[in-house]
Amino acid sequence: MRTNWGNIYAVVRREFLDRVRKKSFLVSTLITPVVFGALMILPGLLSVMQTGKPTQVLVVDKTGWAGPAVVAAAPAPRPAGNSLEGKAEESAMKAATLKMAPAGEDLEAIKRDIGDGKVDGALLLEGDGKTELKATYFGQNISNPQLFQFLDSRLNVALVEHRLDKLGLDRAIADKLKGRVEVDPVKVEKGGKTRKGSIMDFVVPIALALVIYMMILMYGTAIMNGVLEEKNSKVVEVIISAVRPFELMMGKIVGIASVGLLQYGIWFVAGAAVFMANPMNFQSHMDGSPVKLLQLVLLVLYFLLGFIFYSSLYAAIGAACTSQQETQQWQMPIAFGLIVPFMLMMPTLMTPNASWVVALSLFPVTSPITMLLRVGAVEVPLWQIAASLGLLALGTVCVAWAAAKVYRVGILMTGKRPSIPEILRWIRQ
Amino acid sequence: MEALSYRGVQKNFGDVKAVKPLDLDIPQGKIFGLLGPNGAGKSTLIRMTMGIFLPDGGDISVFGQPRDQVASAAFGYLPEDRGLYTKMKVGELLRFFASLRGLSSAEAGRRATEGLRRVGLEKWENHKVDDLSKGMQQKIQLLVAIQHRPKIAVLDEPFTGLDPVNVELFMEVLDEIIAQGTTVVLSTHQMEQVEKLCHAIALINKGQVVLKGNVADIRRDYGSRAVSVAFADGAKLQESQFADLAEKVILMPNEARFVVRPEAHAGKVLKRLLELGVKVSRFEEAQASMHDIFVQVVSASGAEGDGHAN
Repeated sequence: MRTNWGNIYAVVRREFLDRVRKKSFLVSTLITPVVFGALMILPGLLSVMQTGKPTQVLVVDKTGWAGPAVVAAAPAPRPAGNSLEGKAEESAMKAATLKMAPAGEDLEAIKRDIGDGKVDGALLLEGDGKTELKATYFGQNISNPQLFQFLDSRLNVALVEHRLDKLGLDRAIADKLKGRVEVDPVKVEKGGKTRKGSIMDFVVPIALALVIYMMILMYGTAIMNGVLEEKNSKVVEVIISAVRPFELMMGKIVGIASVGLLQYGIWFVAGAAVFMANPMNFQSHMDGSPVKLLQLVLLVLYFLLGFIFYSSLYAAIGAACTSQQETQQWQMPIAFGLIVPFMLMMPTLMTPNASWVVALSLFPVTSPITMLLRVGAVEVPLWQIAASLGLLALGTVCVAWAAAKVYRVGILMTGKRPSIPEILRWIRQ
Repeated sequence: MEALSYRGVQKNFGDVKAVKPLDLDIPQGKIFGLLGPNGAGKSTLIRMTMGIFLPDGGDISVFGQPRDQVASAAFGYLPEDRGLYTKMKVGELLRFFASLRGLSSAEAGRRATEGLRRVGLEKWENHKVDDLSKGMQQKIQLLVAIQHRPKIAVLDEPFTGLDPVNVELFMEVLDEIIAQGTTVVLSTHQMEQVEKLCHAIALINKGQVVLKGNVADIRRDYGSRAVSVAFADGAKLQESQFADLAEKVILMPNEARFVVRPEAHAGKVLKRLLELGVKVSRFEEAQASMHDIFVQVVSASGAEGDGHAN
């Protein structure tokens, strides 16, 4: 029998309407961006904002010069004070307040006070009385990076000033020696075209990979549960008497993928609207669009192929198992194919042309995520993109074919869980 | 022309021969009973008929055409394991299944309304399937099987779980669809219904057809061997006293039933009763019930016991 497209359409339509009409679709469409926005922005925001009152540090000076110098030191601000890094540094500079310990106060007594919580911390300064300085911090909490950034910068400014004094340099000249310089990143694209780099160059590839990762994981699992539900509610037998298993499986995958595309479409349009409505926030960081057309095309291609690749596997799992618990041990190895390239995101972005990264971007299981990360980071040779897509398409056809076989047999099986050799036999049949 | 025709159809699951090479013809336009104990291969035969399984050998033809060339619109199915999408609305569900059977959406809508009215559920069209009682869901399941007016409707145990009123309703609906030209294949364990509804039957055991034919013919053939006796003083009778004459003896205080051995004769049973001093008030050759025939044939061919579910 030939594939009946009318049947596939009927299944697609049912799956799509069934899910889109649910309240949970509306809720997740509204809530997800909020949660995600919060997850992405909050940590950055918190590191920028003053989150608690400054740590009060007592300075115990054994050098005779460094104590007052450190307390009085004024580090030079960053040149471009408006960037995220600048904001973070600014807030670090408020992480603590320094005060000289009362003269004659015993260090052991201060330590006892720290232990009892009466004093936040103490900075012990020792040295040889000339140009060297040794600093030790005592505190209950030594896991606050902002505090150490604060202390480091104060100490180093004080030490440099002290050394300049020792060299006999005039303070007025010494002041002029302060001030910093910073690297300005410029991205070079094909043909030598350049544009100013921004935080978006880092965010975009990650966002693209995240979209694929979330989508496959969320909707792949939805497909698996849908298959399981049909199987357990026994409705499948009536359907299979009218529709071929392959048609049912493909209808399900396409129907649920459409739900996903609709949801991401809504987010994309809403995001674009926010972007347009409030250009100040974003465009100051950008010089031309950081998302290239090629990236969008690849996003769609990798999404479609990767989604069919993974959701066929999920459909097969749903068909081979009889309960949610049973599916879990099968889900893990499949999710690995998505989780591993995602966990290797940082090294991938740092060395996007390392041979292992190229290999991952060609291998069908990992290519959707790794290739999107690479494409966002550097100019990937066209042959690699073509090879990666070709391999993924080939892998998808093979996986969908095998999954359809497992699905066909498994969907009518009840009771005993099939063993792996049994499943392999279904595929060979 | 035969509605369904099986020639050498067989199916194996691993080493289990679920259906052995089997020949069977199901005539058009009537109710055909597919009988057999659990695990006899009935469901496998039904699933092959519905195109869910492919036979390992042999041919199934539908009105003379090979099974795989017949569109799914020709078939309707009410499986033994019932199942509906419980989160869907009743009307949507019916329209969905109608569209899978090739109806246009307008036609599907009309049929859904019409069908719901026929089974008295027109008020439930916009309720979720979940909200319906078991009996109501079974009515929906029946509509799913017949709403597209299939040429062949296979109904597996359609009456189980129904109250007597709804059993009557189902029977009326079956009459109506037969009048419209549908051939119904009915699988059931309830032999009274076979007697009432079925024109012809096939009894399947261990993957083989062990008995087939018209219900009336079968009952007559077996009836000549069934004897019903009424008496006043049979309390002292024992089954063993008739072991040489009857295959089966049912003794009650004031009456008894015998299935006479083929080589024996009903007259010998009467003679034995008189010899034992029983005062017989009535002695007649009864028409065998399908129940008796079922039990007799299946135990003669050996029941599979608890066969596998496929």
